[in-house]
Amino acid sequence: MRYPYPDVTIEVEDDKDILVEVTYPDAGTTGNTFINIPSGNNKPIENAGSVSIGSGKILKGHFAIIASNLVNVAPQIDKIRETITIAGVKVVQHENLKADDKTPSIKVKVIFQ
Amino acid sequence: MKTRLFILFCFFGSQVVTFGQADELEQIKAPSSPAAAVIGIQPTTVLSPKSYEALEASVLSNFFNGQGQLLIPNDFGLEFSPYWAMDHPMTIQQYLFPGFGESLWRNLSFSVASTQNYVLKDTVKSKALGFGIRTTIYITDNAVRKVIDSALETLNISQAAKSIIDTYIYSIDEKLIKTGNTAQFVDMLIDSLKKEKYMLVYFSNDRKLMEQELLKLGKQLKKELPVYSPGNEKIFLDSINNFVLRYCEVSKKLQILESYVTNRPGFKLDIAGAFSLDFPKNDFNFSITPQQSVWLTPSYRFRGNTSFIEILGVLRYNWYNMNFYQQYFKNKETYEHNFDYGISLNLLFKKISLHFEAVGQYSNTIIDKTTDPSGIVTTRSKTKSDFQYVGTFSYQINKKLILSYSFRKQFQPVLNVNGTLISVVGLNFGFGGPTKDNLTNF
Repeated sequence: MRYPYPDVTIEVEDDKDILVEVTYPDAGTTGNTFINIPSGNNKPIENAGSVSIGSGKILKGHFAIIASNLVNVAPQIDKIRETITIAGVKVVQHENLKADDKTPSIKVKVIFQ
Repeated sequence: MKTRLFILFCFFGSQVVTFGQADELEQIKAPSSPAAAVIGIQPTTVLSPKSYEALEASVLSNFFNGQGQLLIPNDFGLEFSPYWAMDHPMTIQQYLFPGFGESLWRNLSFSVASTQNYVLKDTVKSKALGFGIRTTIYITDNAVRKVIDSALETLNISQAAKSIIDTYIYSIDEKLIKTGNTAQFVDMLIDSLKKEKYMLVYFSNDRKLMEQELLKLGKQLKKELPVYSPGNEKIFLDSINNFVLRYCEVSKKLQILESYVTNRPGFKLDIAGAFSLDFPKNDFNFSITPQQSVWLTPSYRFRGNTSFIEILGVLRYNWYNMNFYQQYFKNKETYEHNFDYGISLNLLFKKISLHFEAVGQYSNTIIDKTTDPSGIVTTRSKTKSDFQYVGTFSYQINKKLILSYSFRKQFQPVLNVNGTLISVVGLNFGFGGPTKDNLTNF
């Protein structure tokens, strides 16, 4: 199922590296996140972790489209959860029941200014 | 053929009734709820609270009345895993391959069960509680680890491809709304994907293969996508999402990984213990422990071409309180110490399931103990050996119909004897019937 999140605008500082961080609060979650920056370098994140997508100066005035595909294989866990943070701002805090959807696709557009 | 089947079914009909009256044959496997097993019930209500707050609420609402007095609910079960009551962020590898101690702690669960029908003197019913604990230890060898790692990697690559495609769909869907042309949308998507270097990983870094496959994908998309029109944007995008999910085979690869997690190949040891607490006078000030039990169930599930084979062993110890049984079951022969040991073999093919198990039982009890003036203790004890076996053959005729035949000889139970040699043939129709996972329980 698709879970499109509302567009987010983030103010970035020129001299700072912008980090995208993916965290899974639950055991047994595995996924892949792709950050598509039409004006720059695209970056993948395998499972939880963080990646730099460039300096604020480069990103200012541009946008990134982020898509995450998740699953959870732990029988003890009944939810699928993920948090995506960019430059310290939580842009996605996702949660769905596995009974409703076992393969959620999360999407969000982030505009840098 | 139909007539023969009908005659066979009728012939064994009476045997089915006999089986229903006899005690259930205890299977070689650790009980999912040791507390329920030790008081001999299959709870009609089982609660599995996922947090300490939910546990507290479950205990208060089921075991206490409004005045704070203790209650014993009938046929009730409660199971709680302390580890899973809290969040445990960890990598997927840490989840899949825990160490020995971690495995012990993660799989630890406590269970409580209760009944108002714990039979005394064959007819008198009393209230009873069961308390249990169990855990499972997995020992994963390197070969199994490689198989699971490979299934995980395959799934992750599929998820990566899906995420890449998703971002491109999302980046051009606004243009689609402006143009309203499905074919143009697909062409734009395929052109973008061809230029994406991370997409190559999905096609084993073979650019030619990638271009060919993307071309096919484009053709399939044009064929299968609904015609876009203003107002049906959500339906259109959901259709693409479902199509890409199928194309990347995320669900299929998830199923493979899940099957390794739930039916993990390799060695597994289930450990469980339980004791019962009976209130013979239905007065909470007087209780007695009729039984204590310990189960050790090692098993080995093969992998690869022999993954249809599973071997289980069992070591089971039941301690019966002689004071209790001599008081409430004077005419029954009971032994204080009962050791069960056995082995079981499960073979699961596509439509055929074969299950065989054999369990020996050794029981003993001290019947007389004397001490002479010099302090030497002399004891007299009685012993008994018994043997049970069960063989089951099941054939899944179709999704709703399973033919099964089983033959079995069971132990002389402590209570209630209605014969121990049983032969059953049965046809199971549909609703809630056995699945491939529980065919051996049929």
